[in-house]
Amino acid sequence: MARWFHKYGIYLVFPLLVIALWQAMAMAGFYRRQVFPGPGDVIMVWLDLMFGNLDLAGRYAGSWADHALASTWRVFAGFAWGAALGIFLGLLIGLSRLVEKIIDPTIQVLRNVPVTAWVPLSLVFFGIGSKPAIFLIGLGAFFPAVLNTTHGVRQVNQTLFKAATMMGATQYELVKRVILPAAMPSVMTGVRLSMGIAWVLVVVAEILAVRSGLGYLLNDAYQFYRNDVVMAAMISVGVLGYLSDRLVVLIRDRALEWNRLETYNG
Amino acid sequence: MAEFVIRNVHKVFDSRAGHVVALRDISLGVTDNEFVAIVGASGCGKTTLLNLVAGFEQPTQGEVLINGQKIAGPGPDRGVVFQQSALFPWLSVRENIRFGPTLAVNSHRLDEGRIDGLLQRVGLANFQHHYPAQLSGGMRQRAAIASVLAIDPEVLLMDEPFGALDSLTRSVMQDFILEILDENRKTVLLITHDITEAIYVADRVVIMAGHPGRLRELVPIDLPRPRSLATQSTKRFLELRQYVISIVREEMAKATELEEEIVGSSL
Repeated sequence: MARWFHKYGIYLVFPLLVIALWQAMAMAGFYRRQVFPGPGDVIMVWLDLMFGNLDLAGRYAGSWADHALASTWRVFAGFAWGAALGIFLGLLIGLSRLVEKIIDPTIQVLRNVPVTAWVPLSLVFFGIGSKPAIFLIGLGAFFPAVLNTTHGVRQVNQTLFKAATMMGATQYELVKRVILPAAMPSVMTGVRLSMGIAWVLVVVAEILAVRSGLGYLLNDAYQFYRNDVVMAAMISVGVLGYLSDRLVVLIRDRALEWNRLETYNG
Repeated sequence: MAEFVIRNVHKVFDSRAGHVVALRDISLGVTDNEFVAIVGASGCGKTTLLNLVAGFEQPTQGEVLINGQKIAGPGPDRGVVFQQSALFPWLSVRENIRFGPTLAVNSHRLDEGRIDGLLQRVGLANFQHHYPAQLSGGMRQRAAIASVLAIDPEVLLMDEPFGALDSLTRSVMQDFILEILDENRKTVLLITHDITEAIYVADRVVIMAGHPGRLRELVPIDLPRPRSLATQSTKRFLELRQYVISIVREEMAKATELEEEIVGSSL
């Protein structure tokens, strides 16, 4: 029992505390139940959103899987192009001072424009639908990937570089067998940040530009004073974002076991 | 067969901090299969000298020749063992040793049986699938030496290879390197600040003086081989050690005086 608690139970303590606090605040009755529903209400409406058999979520009942799937698809589509382009350009910038001079200043200027500021233009160019959402998400995912990849390429250990040159490595071999592997931990940090920002932006994009997805569900329910559905949608985004992050971490730890061994408390 | 010659070499570094003469008029010939150790106070240009032979740096004046050919850059004919073992942290011990032979220029040398032999030789056969982070300092340096031997260089350049190890491990590693060279003779240049180590392993000890870096004295080490720990307590060994230490200390004292003069004149 004690061992079980240390292995798994410890993860539940804080979430349960948060839920208990939420329940207590809901029961205190500062707001009407419709305005600030408690965890029990939200869980029930969530179940109805998923399975549509409790008659609690009204016209939203049973729509959860469609919305969740739509959002997840957009996140991964936007993340894929944004992170891939970011890694590619990050490698070029990191490897070549010339490429850095040509494209890095532009990236550094655009980086300061919030992705939400791109919403009007993206609607003009792509219309209403998945396209502007995937564009915005990719744009947001691009910046952490490009910055961290550049950093990773630039901080390759000098001695390793010398050792490979001494053994007769060609430029191509240096890139492929020294610089790329050495940059991987930093690249993966960028990828992880990209994934996080993708879930933030999918909600923004779906509120503004699409008629499906968890962001759309959240905004639509808000318009109809269904705060229980709003909160269920919020938690859904949180959980799916968390699962995506775990997926990235799992892939990273599998691929970079050496890095875990190199670092303190890895 | 490998010999190299350093001829009238000057090396100057220009940086924002100023104009530093790292090496002044250095000439040194190292013959085939000779083991030369370079000692001197830190900052005397020992590592710069090794970097010139390795090809990581080019002389400002003069030339460095290997078998009569001018050294244009680093290459697999000159294997370098660095102070901080240059193992790739993302490769296992075995993959690290295979790194050199799997490069295009050395591909004719790739032979898994030889890799097995090297792993056995450096005592890491049972650790071949471990990552460098899982090894002790001595094991890491043995793996690094094996990875350099894997490309079978004609010249072995070692830059304080045991400097980061504890003294016990260091003395074991000195015997290890002597055994390795006994089996497969190579021309060796060793940079060290450990005078006992230099005399114990080398055929000739070169004493450098600093500011600017120059050769102070060449001391032939006429101790018989094979050498063992007992060699270090022979009368001849102690005489040589005393002699080398006295010169190094004399140079260090001069350097300190010089610094005091410079500080004094600026007051």
